[in-house]
This record gives sequence, C-alpha cells and structure tokens, in this order.
Amino acid sequence: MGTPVKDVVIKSDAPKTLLLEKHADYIASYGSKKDDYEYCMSEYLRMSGVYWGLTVMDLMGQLHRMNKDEILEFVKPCQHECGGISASIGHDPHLLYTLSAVQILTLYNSLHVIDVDKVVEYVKSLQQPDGSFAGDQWGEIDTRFSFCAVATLALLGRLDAVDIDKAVEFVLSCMNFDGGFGCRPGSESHAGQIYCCTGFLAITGQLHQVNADLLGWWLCERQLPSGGLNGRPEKLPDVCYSWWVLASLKIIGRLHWIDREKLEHFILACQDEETGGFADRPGDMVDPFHTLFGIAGLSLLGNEQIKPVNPVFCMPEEVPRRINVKLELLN
Amino acid sequence: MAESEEEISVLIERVVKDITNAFKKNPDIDEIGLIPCPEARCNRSPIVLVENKLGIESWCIKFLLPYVHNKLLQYKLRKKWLEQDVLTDVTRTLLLLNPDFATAWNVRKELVLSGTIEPIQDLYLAKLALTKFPKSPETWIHRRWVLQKLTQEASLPCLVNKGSTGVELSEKLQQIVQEEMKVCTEAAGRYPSNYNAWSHRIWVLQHIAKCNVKVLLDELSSTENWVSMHISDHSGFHYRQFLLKSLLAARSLPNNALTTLSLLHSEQICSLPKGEKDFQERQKTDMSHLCVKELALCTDLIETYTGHEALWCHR
Repeated sequence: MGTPVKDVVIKSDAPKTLLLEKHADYIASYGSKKDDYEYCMSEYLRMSGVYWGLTVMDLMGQLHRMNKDEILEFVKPCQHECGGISASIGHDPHLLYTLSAVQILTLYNSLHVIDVDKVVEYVKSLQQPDGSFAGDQWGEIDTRFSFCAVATLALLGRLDAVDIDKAVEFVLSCMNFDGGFGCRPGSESHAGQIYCCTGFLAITGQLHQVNADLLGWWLCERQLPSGGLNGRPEKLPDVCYSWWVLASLKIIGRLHWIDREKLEHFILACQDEETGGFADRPGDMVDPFHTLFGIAGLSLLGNEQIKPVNPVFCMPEEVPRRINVKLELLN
Repeated sequence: MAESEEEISVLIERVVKDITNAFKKNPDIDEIGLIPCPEARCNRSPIVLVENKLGIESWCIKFLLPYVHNKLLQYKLRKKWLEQDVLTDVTRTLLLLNPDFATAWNVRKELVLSGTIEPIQDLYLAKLALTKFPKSPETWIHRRWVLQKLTQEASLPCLVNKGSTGVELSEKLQQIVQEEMKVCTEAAGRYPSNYNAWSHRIWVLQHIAKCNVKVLLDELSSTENWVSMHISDHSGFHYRQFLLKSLLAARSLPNNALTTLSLLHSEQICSLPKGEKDFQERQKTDMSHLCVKELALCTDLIETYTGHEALWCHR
C-alpha cells in the first residue's frame, strides 16, 4: 500500500466540452466589474493582464470585442524616458511589461504608438557582462528576463542589438543535470523557467544544445494520473503548466510524449460552467491568466475551434508569421 | 452607512498612523495577519497589536489599500509631493498588504539610497511581509537588492583566516547569512516546496557567503532534520544537491584555499598544509563520506516513507 500521489480527483460532473462562448463573454466583460480593491491589488501586472486577455480573445477569434483604441491609449503613456514600459501608468518600467506591451502592439499591428528604438536601447542596457539580463535598473537576474529580452527584440526585428552569444552562454549555464533549467545557475529546474529557456534557445537558434530526450522525459513526468501537469515533482497539477510544459515539449519536438486525451480531459474540467473562464484546477476560482493558458494548451493539443498558437511567443501563429519572425523548433 | 470621501480619507490617515505607531511602540513585531471582521466596531482602530503580532481588521482593507495605492501613484506621477517620512509610512502600509507591488519597493530603494531608510529596516519589513506572503517574488527580489547594498560597503570585512579551521566569514557576514537562512527556513515552512525561498537561499550562499566551505558544511548538517520532516519538498532536497555540488567544486581544486582566500594577501596563503597529496586525499575521502552519508539518509527516508517522488529524484 503506497503513499497516495499528490493529485486532484476530477468529479464526474466536471465540464467535458469546450465552452468557448462563455470564455469570450468572461474576458470581454472582465475589468468592468472589478471593485477598487481587486483592481488595485492586480494593477502591478496590468500590462500582462491586458496581453493575456487580448491573446486569448484573438485565439478564440473574438479580438474585435476588445476596445483597441482604449488599449492603445493605455499603453502609450506607460513608456518611460529610459525606453522601458511599465505595467500601468505611474508604475516603474520592467522587461516583463515591456514584452507584454510589445506583444499587445504586435497583435494590433500598432508598434508606432511607442518609440521602438528606445525600447531596443532599454533592453540592450539591461544585458550584463556575463550575458544575463537584469529585469530593470535594480539588477535582479533571472532567465525569465533573458527570454523577455530576446522575445521583445525578435518581435521588433532587432536581435542584433545585444550580444546573443554571451546571452546563450548564460542561459546554458543554467542547465541542470536533469536537462531542465532554473532561474539562475545552480537553481532548481522549474517548468516555467524551462519554457523561458527553451523559448530563448528557439529564438536564438540554439535548440541543438538541449538534451531533448532527457528534458522531454522530465517534462512528461509532470503528467499526473488526473491527466493534469505540474511544474515540479510532488506538486499539484495546474492548468498554467499545461502551457509551460506543453509548449516546451512542442519546442523540443516531444509533444507526443504526453497523454493528450487525459490532459485535454483535465483542462476542460478546469472550466467554470457558470462564469466562463478557467481556474488553476477543477472547482477553483477562474482568472484571465489561467483562461489564456487553458485555451492555449488546448490549441497545442490540436483543438480545431481555436486558432493555432505559437509555442514560443504564446500568440496566434499567424502573428509572428505576419512579421516574419524566423523560428526553428526541434522535430 | 454612506461615508463622504473626506471622512474616508481622515479614517485612512488615522489607520496609517496607527500602523506607524504600532511599529514605534513595538519594534519586535514578528508577524502580520488579517483579522476576519466584516464591520467596524464603534470607532475602534482596525489595527490590533497583541504581543508581537500585528493584525488588521478585514473591513478596512477595501478602503485602506486603494487609498494608499493612489496616494503613492499621485506622488510617482508628480501630482502630489510627499515628504520622505510620509513615503516611508505609505509604502510600508502598502507592502504589508500587497508586497508584489514592485514600484512601492522601488520607492523604498530610493529612500535607502538617500539615507532615509536603513537597509536593515527593509530586511525587517520584507521578513514581516513574508510571514503572510511567503512566496512573494518581489519581496525576495528586494531582499537581494538590500543585501547587495549592505555587503557592498567598502568597510565591511568579508573573510577571516582562522588558521587550522580554514577560512571563515567575518562575524558581521555570518550574522547576515544566518539571518537569511532563518528567514528562508520560516518561509519554506509556510508554503510547501517554496521555490522562491530556496532559490534565495542558494543565492545568499553564492553571493554573500561566497560558497564558503564551513558555511556549506553547516548548512548540510542543519538542513538534514528539516528535509526529513518535509519529504515531499523537492526544493529542500535540491538545496542539499546544491550544497554537495558546491562542496565538490570547492574541494576538487588543488589550491582550493586560493579561491576562498581571494581577498587576503597572497603571503598568508602560504599556511597551506604540507603534503599537498595527503591534503587532497583527505578532501576526496571527505567528499565520498558526505555522499555516502547522503545516500544513507535518502535510503532511510525512502524506506520510512514509501512512494515519495522527491526522494527518488534526489537519489
């Protein structure tokens, strides 16, 4: 008699079909019903929140329901003198929100709204002598920021602005014995960091440096009996890992190592039939973050009601294609 | 009960003052929390201080947070100037409620740089925030920035050659490192497999303790008990892997003393033990002894608690 594995049990009355319209309604009206307290609490990531909402609507073919002018007017004053972009007006600039802003403007084909050259300058200024990237002027180093830097530059067609070789050197120094990646050299492998690093290596054309079989094994071990994916051993499944893990597998050409049916079953169970949207696991409260990654995960699994999603940028495939971003994934 | 905007702002200013006074009255507050309390009770302050615990009644949060949040933004947008002491109080209140509000931490960085706030005050504030929000990434990030500031002071002695026991950290640095280990342990206990707490712990050993061998060995022995009681904690076991790997790296270099004594005069390094070969042999057996011990620990835990993935990964 073994110890029970940390996992969830999906109830028999959990949703089994994709409730696309409910999700579109949920996102379209999100924000209008927020009270002051909740709005303030999440303002520190608003730019990313907008990116999540827009992307999931676009994936569902519902982008027209969002207010483009209002959003462009919101983004513009968030660019600071240094070129970096903040999560919301009055907040400090950071690479995370600079990427989200560039993704939003790319979706809307409206990069002219900001000073693109200054964005490039900002990203360039954050690269360190060892090739790593700081998140902002205060100097925190994390492989997430390496990803943000190159993804931003790739969307702007300006990868030439930074020392790519050094940047690659740093990311590779964060590879662990299990084939995974952590936030800094010596840190534990984590599915989110792995997504950032494999995405980074895809953009910089260095995927051959990954041990695809080893990493692929680690990633598919994230699948639990319920079908859901976790981010590290002995953690509970979470719908957002359906994205971080799945996209990583797609990038390294091992998507088929996952049991797709069981994962799909888990993702669908995370829907809320009444409010629309997805939660981190069945029965919990929904939010736009998990809604995007639920839908994006289903897209990667081949659901035909959703547009194909690009596994590196987490945007509809047609977007990076439109702007000619070259990406080669492993087979 | 409708309250005018002015009444609310008077109320909130009083609450912020109550919080400030609570810290003045009791500099040993070691935990913050929310007290479920749906309604205000006849003019009593929502700030409750019991022994070393600071509680905020939940009814006031929905007024308090937006008010201080907007007050800070008005300052950032240069619409309303705030004095340094007011900024200190406003950001403290904000961060105890929402420590992921990075911009508020950054305001405090400026206050540290201008000398208004002592670095140690922010280590204290971050520690408090972590009692309620043990994962908060921005809190750990701010902590690292403060630690870098603290240890960058030119006058701070780093390493001391203790002769036979090898190189040790200066007392001041030891204190700082020990405090960080304590904060990490507490946060790791508050949330299972706390990635941010453990990766911070590793960062401290790498950048503050400079992978000092004595510190690594101390950590190896002091975390043995913890991981035995948290056997699903993959991060905890990964930490031990990091310690073992770092010890291996430190000891496999022929002149490992050189790397750890990089700040001292080269003359002092001549006190390396004679018979280099014997020294190296001792190092190797020390390492394999540690690994054997680790394997034994792992086996014991696996046999006691069957079916835990983290233990097998560690093996």
